[in-house]
Amino acid sequence: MRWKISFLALSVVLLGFLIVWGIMEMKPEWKRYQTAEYAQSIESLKHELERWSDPKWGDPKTAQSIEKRIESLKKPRLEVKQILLKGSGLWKDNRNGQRVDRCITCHVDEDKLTKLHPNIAENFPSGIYGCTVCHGGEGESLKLKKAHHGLFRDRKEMLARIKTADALLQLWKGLAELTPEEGARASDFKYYGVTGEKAVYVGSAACLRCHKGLTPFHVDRWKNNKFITMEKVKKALDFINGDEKYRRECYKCHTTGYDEKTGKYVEEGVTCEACHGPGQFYIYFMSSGKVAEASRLSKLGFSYDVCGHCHMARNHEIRGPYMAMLESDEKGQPNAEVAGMIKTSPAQPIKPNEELPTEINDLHDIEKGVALAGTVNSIARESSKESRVQ
Amino acid sequence: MRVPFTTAVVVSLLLWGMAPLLGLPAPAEIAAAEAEKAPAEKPPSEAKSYAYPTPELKKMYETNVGLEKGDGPFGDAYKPIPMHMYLNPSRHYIRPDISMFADLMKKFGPEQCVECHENVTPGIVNAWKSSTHAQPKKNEYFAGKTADIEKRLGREVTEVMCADCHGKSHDVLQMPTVDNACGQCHPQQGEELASEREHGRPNHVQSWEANVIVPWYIENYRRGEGASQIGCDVCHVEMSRCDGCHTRHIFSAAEGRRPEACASCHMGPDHPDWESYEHSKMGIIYHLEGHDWPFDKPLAEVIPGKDYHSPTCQYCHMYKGGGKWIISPVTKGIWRMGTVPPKEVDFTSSLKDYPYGINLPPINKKLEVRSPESIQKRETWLELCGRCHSVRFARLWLENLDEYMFLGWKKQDEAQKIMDQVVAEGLLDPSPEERACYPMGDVLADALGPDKLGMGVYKAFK
Repeated sequence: MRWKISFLALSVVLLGFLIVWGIMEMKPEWKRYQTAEYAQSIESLKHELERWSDPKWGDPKTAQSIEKRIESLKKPRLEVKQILLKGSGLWKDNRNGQRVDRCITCHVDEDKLTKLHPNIAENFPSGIYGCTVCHGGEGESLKLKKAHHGLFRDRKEMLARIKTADALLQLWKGLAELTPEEGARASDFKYYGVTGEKAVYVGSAACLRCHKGLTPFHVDRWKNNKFITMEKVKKALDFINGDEKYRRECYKCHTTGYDEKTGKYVEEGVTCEACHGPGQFYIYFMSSGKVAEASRLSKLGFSYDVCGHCHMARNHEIRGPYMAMLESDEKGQPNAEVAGMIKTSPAQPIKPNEELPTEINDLHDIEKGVALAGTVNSIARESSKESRVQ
Repeated sequence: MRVPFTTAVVVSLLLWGMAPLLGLPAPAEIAAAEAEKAPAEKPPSEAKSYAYPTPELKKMYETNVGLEKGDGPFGDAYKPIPMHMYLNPSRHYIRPDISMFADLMKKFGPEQCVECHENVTPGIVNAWKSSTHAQPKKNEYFAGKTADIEKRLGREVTEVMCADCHGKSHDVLQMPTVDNACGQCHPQQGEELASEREHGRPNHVQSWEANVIVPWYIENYRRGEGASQIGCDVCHVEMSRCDGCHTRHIFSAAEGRRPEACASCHMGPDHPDWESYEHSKMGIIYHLEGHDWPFDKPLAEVIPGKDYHSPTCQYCHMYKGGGKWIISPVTKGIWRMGTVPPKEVDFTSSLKDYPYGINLPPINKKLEVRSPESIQKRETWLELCGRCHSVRFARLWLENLDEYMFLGWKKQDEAQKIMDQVVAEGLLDPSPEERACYPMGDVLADALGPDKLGMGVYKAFK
């Protein structure tokens, strides 16, 4: 009898567990958050609807489509949403790795997220990079507490993260792992800060205050070479006469901190940050009494291919027509006084080149490559022609 | 949906941001039509304008209309007070009638102004005589500067006479502005001042626009109380002129470098900048020792600690970064005078939706102290602060000030929440419905519509 009672009691307890488990499985935490998020979207769409149904300023068609959207959102399909992140080596075979970010299950309003990340969405689309690489937390969890464990909510928390250089180096490494580009390295991401936004260029004046004394040879070597070139560029006729688009081509290499999107730069000339990358975090460590961290960051973040970004063949091809004009002056001498010209005398006197126009206005018609960038090339062409004639 | 009156007032505070976006062409068109009808006293200058770069802005704020209509998009709604001919002369100046003295004027040439004015206005003449304009090559430094100007103008400059700024006779008499006078010889300074526009409001060059764009400015004229606006006008007109800081008729650069140059406007309860400086240690040191400092030196040549023992307003605020100082104190502004709620604070009251759904750039822009743009400005500050302080100290100090501001906003958020509740429960007496209509509210609602005003404000104005 007793065993019968205990069996029954056990069955009831088990059944109870089963029911509770069943309910929990049917109504998980995330469903509540997702529903709330959808309700919020409906709320904001209703405001929108009010504006579009205004008799004077509204538009009935738009109002109708908004109404439809509200209707569809009222009966949303609740489901787990996730971003599959590139795993180690599997992604390229069209198979995904095992890393997932399920944050968008609760944070389901994509428009809202895009608005919250105005400087990020373009460089690090969430569909590829997910959320946790910058924000921390545990991406695969669907429970609030666990998912938000170790989370960096906003800029303040993210910035507070950088107690040592490792936080930044790890972030760069994480981004390099997730990027679809093959062979990306952590140092390729040194242009981004701990918030995923473009890191800030602080200007050479800030660097030189310490480094004049710390690394005087390096600073002197930089000062005594051609890197302060923007002044020369500004005197060059093709720069002066060129339009904004043409000038931007010059800014790319002759300024520091140039932003292709805005066309603005931080400093003229090739200064510290042009090679070493933006100094925001470096200077943060230097000025917070963490010189060793600054040193680690600059050494581990540096890559030796920076020179190649500018020092590449035919980078000056765009100047061809202008150079050609200089060559064909009356005396047939390269005009050494004109800014932007290299002051070398030709090996042999050259004849005026009749193929090339003398008016700068006509130069636009010349196809690129007629005159390669510079006097020396043309001289070589000229002499090779002569030798062929002979 | 009711919008509390306080909300409406705050909204109106923001409306000054909308001038170029209003799309209210009426005043400008009328101005053009008037200019065609009556031969203008002064032909509208085609030259480049520093203060108003676009033709639309020029028509609204600069093209001469006498005292017939006001300034800005609501220019047709009010007539300026006569005093405005001196406050905003490029638009409202009317020459005195000197026909009785026509014969007298014939006797004197443009280089002979001083002969009469030495007796008529001795203060002006004597001030000018002690100025660099009277002796442009008085020392090596100014001779060099003058040589640059001579090269640009293509003529010799031995003296900058009355006529160079005021016109060659009483028939073409003009009140100088940066466009028609100062900028002719000092274009770099004019351009630097004009560059403030890039950084958005608040700034100096747009301060007159900000002054006349607010609805209550015009509302006061509608009530016949226009004269009371002089309190705003006097400071807000400085944007198109240089003599706010380099006063007449000495126009001294050294004077402009003294912190008192800023004090005449930046004081008082709504912007106690001078009081803050004056009572800070920096200000006290200036007060004790400043009379001996070499204010003749350009800011870029000042050696901190040797020339200045503490910084002046100009030394810090006019620093642009990279060792350059320019005539624009707004290049490093992060807080924008502290009137805009920052994004970093999680508001729980109606401040959350600031600016109340209004969608007019730049007023819909929120303050972001930790955005990359602000961080860049902050780093420029730190580079400057670091000339005298430890950068770590400076960084902690400024970050603490940020936190302090955030806390201030949090307190305001709590207060606003109480107000929201009061309004929601209909406890305001008189209630918003019982109060007078918002100044020009109907005009604004029709002109801007719900897209720009936001549905709540639009309905409240209607």
